[in-house]
Amino acid sequence: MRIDIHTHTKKVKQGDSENRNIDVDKFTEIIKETDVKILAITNHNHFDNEQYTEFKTNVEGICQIWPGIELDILEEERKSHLIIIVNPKNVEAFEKKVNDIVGSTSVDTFTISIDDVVDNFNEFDAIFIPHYHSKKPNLTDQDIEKMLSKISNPNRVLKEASNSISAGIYINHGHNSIHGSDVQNWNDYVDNSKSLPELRLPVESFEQFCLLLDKDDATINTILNKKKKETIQINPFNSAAEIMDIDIYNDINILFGSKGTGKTDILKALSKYYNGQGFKTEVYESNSKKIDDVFDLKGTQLKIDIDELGIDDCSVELASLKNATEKEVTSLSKYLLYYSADATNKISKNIKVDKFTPLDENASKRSYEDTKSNFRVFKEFKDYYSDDVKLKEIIGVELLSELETVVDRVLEKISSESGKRFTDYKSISFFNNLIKLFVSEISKKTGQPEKPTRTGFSEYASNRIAIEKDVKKILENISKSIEPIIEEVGNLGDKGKLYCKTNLVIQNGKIADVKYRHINSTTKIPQKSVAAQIELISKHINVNTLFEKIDELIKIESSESVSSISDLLLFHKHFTLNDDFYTPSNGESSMVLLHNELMTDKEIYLIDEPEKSLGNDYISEVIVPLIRARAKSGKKIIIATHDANIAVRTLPYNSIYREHDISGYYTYTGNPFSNSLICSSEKKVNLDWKLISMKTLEGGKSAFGERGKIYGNT
Amino acid sequence: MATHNATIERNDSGATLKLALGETVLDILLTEDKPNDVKTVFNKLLEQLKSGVFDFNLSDEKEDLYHHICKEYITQLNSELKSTYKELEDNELLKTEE
Repeated sequence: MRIDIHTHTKKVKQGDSENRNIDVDKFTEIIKETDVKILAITNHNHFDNEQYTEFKTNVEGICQIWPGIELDILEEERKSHLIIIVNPKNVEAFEKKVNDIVGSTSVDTFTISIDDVVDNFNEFDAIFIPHYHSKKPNLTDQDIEKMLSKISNPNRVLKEASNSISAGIYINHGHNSIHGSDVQNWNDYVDNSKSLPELRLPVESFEQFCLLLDKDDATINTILNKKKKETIQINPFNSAAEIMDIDIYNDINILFGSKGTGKTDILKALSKYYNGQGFKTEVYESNSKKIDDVFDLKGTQLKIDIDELGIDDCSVELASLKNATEKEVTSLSKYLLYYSADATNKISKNIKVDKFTPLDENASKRSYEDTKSNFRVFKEFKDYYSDDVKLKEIIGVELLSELETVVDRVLEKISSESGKRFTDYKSISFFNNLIKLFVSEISKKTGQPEKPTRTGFSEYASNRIAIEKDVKKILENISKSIEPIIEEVGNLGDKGKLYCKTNLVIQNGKIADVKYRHINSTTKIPQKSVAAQIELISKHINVNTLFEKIDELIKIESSESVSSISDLLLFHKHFTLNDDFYTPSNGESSMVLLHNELMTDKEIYLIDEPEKSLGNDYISEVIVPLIRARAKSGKKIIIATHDANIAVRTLPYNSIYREHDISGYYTYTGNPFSNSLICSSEKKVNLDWKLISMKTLEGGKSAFGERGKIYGNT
Repeated sequence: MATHNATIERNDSGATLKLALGETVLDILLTEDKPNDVKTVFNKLLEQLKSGVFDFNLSDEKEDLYHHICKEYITQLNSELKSTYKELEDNELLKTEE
C-alpha cells in the first residue's frame, strides 16, 4: 500500500508540462496498475472540485483521493512551494476558500504568505507539506519554524523530500519527512510509483492517517488488532518464574536484545508449542546446516529408479548369465557304435519311424509363446479398462463399448491363432518323442545301441544364442547415457544462479574417476570388474572358452552384490555456476539456504539470526522484501535478530525486546508505530522503540536513515 | 540358401568328416570322441549362420560305415542348422549388411 501526497492532474501554470493533463479514464486505468492506495491531487494554486469528485468516484474502493493544492509561498521576498492536503469532508469549503483567495489572480503570479496559509487553511483539518532542502523551491528552516509556531498540532507538518533517500536522512535527523511523485508525465507513473512511500499499516481514512501522525495508541492498536494474532504461553527456560505470555501476529514478529538474553530458547519454545498444535515447525539456525548436507552431495538420500530413465535393470538377464551352463554335443562314438552294430532283428529292420529326422520343436514353441504373450497383454489391458471406474466416466460408456468390441475381436483372433500354433508345437513335440521312444525301445528289444537323433548343434547353439541375447541386452543398457539432474539452489546475485547437478553414469568397466561413487551402497563393490567381465564375455560368445569367462565373472569377489544395472549406477553430485563446477563460500551458502527457507511455503517461520554471514545489501534487497512478502500473505514470521536491517526495515507489527540486568531478565513488547516497548512484568518503565533499536541493533542508525522508503513511524 | 560341400577323409588311423565353408574347412573326427573339437566346429557354424542360412551336401561315393554315419550326421545337422538360423532370426542376432 503506497501513498502519493503530491500529484498534478492539470497543466495549470505556463511552465507545467502538458503531460500533467490526464482524463478520468486514463487516471483510473493507471491507478489500477499501481499499488497506490492514497493519492492527493495538488495542482498549482488551483483546485478543481469537479475533477476531484469525478476522479474520486471512479477509483472508489481502489484508491482514496484526498483534496489538496500546491501553493506558491512568498516570504521575505523568497519564493517556495507548500503542499496542503485537507480532510475530504471539508472539500466544498476548501474549494470555496481557494477560489476566494486566488480570485482572479493568475495562477502564474499568485503568491501567499505563511501567515495567510495557516490562517486560511488550518481550519480544514489540514496537513502542511513544505518543500524542504533539496526539494526546490524550498521553505527554509526558519519558515518552517514559523509555520510550526502557528499550527496547533506540529505533527501536521511534514517536510517534503525529493526522494526516499533524502526522506530517510531527514528522518534519521529527527525530521518528519515524506515524499511524493510530483508527477511530470502520467505515462511514467506506473514505474515511478514503485519508489513512493509504502504504508505499513492499512490506513482507511484521512482521519486515521492524521491519528497515526500523532502516534495515537488507540488508533495504532485498532489497526494492529485487525491483524490476526494469538497470545501464546511458553516456558522457554523451564522455570516457573519465567513463564511468558507473548502475542504472535500473522505478520512479522521481531525478537531482539543483547546476546545471552534467551532469544533462541524462546524460538525453540515457540516451535515446541506450534508442533504441539499440529504444525510442523523447526527453528532455522543460520550456519547450523551445511549446504553440502542440505543438498545431499554425498547422496545418502539419493534414490534413482533407472526404469524411469528408460533403462532396464536386466536383473533376469544377469541371473541367467551367472547360472548359464554348457550344453553337451552328441558324441560321435554313438554314431559309430550304432552303424557298426549289425541290425539282425527283422521287425526292427522294417520299422521306419526311428529313421526319421526330428523336426524343429523350438521354433514352433517360440511361435506359440509369442501368441500366448500377446494374448496376456491384451487380457491385462481389458482387465485394466474394465476395472477402472474413473476411466469409464472420462471416456464414456459408448466409446468404451466400441473399444470393448475391438479388443474382444483381437483377443478372439489371437486365441484362434494361438490354438493353431499350439497344435503345431505339440504335433512336432509328439513326433519327436515318438522317434525317441522307438529308438529307445528298438535298442532295448534288440540289444543294439540307440540311434542318435540329433547332432546336438541346435541345443548347443540355442544355449549360446540365449547367452548372447542376455549379454547384448545388458551391454546395451549399460551403454545408455543419462541426463544429469539439475536443481536450482539459489541466486548469487551478479554471479548468476547456483545449481546442484547430479551426474549419473553406469559403470561400463572403464570408468575410473574417483569422484563418481556408487549410488546404492556405502561399501565397495566390484562394479568395474563385473562390467568389464561382461564386456569380455561378449567377445567369447562363439568361442570354446565362453564358460571359463562366465566362471571368472562368478568368482569376482562380491560379484553377487551386482544383481542388476542399478547396482552399476554411479553418481557425482556438485554445485555449478554458469555450467562450471563451483564451491560456494560460507556467505553464499548462508544466502541460498536462508533464501530457500523463506521460499518454502510454510505457515510459521521461526528464524534465528538470519543475518549471520550475510551482507547488508543482500539482507536489504533480497531477504527483507521476502520477509515482507510472506507477512503480506498472512504468515507468521518470528525472527530473532541483532540486525537493524531486519528488525527496523521490516517495520514489524510486533517487537519483543529481551533485556537483562543485575535483577534478572525482562521482556518488553511493542512496535515501531507506537514507538514504545512495554515491560510485560510492569517492573520496568516503558522504553522508546527507536532508541532501543538504535542502541541494541547492529547498523541501527543507518537503518533508520533509509526508512523514508517506508512511511510508518517518523 | 548356400550349400557347402562335405567330404570324408579316410586314412589308416581313422576317418574325418570335412565341412568346407568357403576356404575354411572344419574337421570332425569320426573315430575319436573329442567333444571340444566338435564344439569348435559348432561355434564356427553358429558364427557363419549369422551371415545367412546354409546346409551341407555330402560328396562321397564309397558306401562304407563312415559314409552311413556321415550321411545321417549331415541330414541331422542340416535340419538343426535350419532351425538355429530361425532362432537367430527371431532373436535379432543376424548380421545386418552395412
